[in-house]
Amino acid sequence: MHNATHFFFDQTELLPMSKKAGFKSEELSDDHILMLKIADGNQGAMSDIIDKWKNGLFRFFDRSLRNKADAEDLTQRVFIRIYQSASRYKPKAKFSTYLFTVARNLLIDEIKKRNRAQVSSYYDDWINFNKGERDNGIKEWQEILDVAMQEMPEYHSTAILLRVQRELSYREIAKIMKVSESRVKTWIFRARVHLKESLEHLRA
Amino acid sequence: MKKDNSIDGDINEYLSNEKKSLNDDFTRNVLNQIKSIEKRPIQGKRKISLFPVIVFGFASCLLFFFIITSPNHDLVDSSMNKVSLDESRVTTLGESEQVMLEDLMALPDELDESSMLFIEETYDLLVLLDY
Repeated sequence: MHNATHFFFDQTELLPMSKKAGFKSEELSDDHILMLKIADGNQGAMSDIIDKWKNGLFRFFDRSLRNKADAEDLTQRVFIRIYQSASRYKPKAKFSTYLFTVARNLLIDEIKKRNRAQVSSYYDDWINFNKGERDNGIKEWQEILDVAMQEMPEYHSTAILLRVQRELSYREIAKIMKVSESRVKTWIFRARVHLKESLEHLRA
Repeated sequence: MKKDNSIDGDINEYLSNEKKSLNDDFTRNVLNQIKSIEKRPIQGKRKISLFPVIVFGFASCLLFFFIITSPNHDLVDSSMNKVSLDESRVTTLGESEQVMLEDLMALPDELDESSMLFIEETYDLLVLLDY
């Protein structure tokens, strides 16, 4: 499996595509080029985009939803949505900004759906888990953090995950979440304090 | 301080979630899903194009049904009949007027207009006034 960041793109092939998109080919990143190729009907480019981003998206959803199956399903839906909107895609910002904006929109929809369906809370599952179904591979402090993430509002967990997992700048996170940078900083700070307090309580 | 560092480290390790990953089948599944979606849009488009026609047809039927069952429907009907009757009268009056005009035109010029138009009561009145 090759990494998309090391692809070599033929400039003669790129020129008409970048012209069509209204951008100079040298301004485009590898991901932008892959998106233009997808818009042109290139299945190989779609496969490359999936291989490059699937684990990043899956880890983000897995920590946000604390459910592997749902995380996998949402990751799949992000790629399908990207494929469907490839013809309208304009490489205005970094591809990761676009990708995680789509991901966050789907995450919010999923959380709303869950709230409507009144799914049993993760907290209840965790209590049951501690009553004797404990898997030795999972550390206790990770379970505590799972519950702490569950207690957080979505915007706190998304902000801290984008910062720690993706190492995005505050500016990029602000762009994805459509808020100011200062608000993003506050959310990340509060999220970290909440997670710390949960662990400190355990270790006291 | 050391404790704080270890807590931060644990939090970062937890958030990074680097141990979890998806296998190669995932990519294949997504591509298959995309292929199956690509085959579907024709049906979807048809549904979308038929939708307003169905809605418009249904609305028309409803409107027609409403007019038929409406209590004002008889009133509307009778007023329509009245209008058509009046229209026929207008046409007959028009014909009679034309005949009358032709008669008037046929009258001799020397005929005094006033004497022709006077009625009997008018004469009585003129007598009373010694005209």
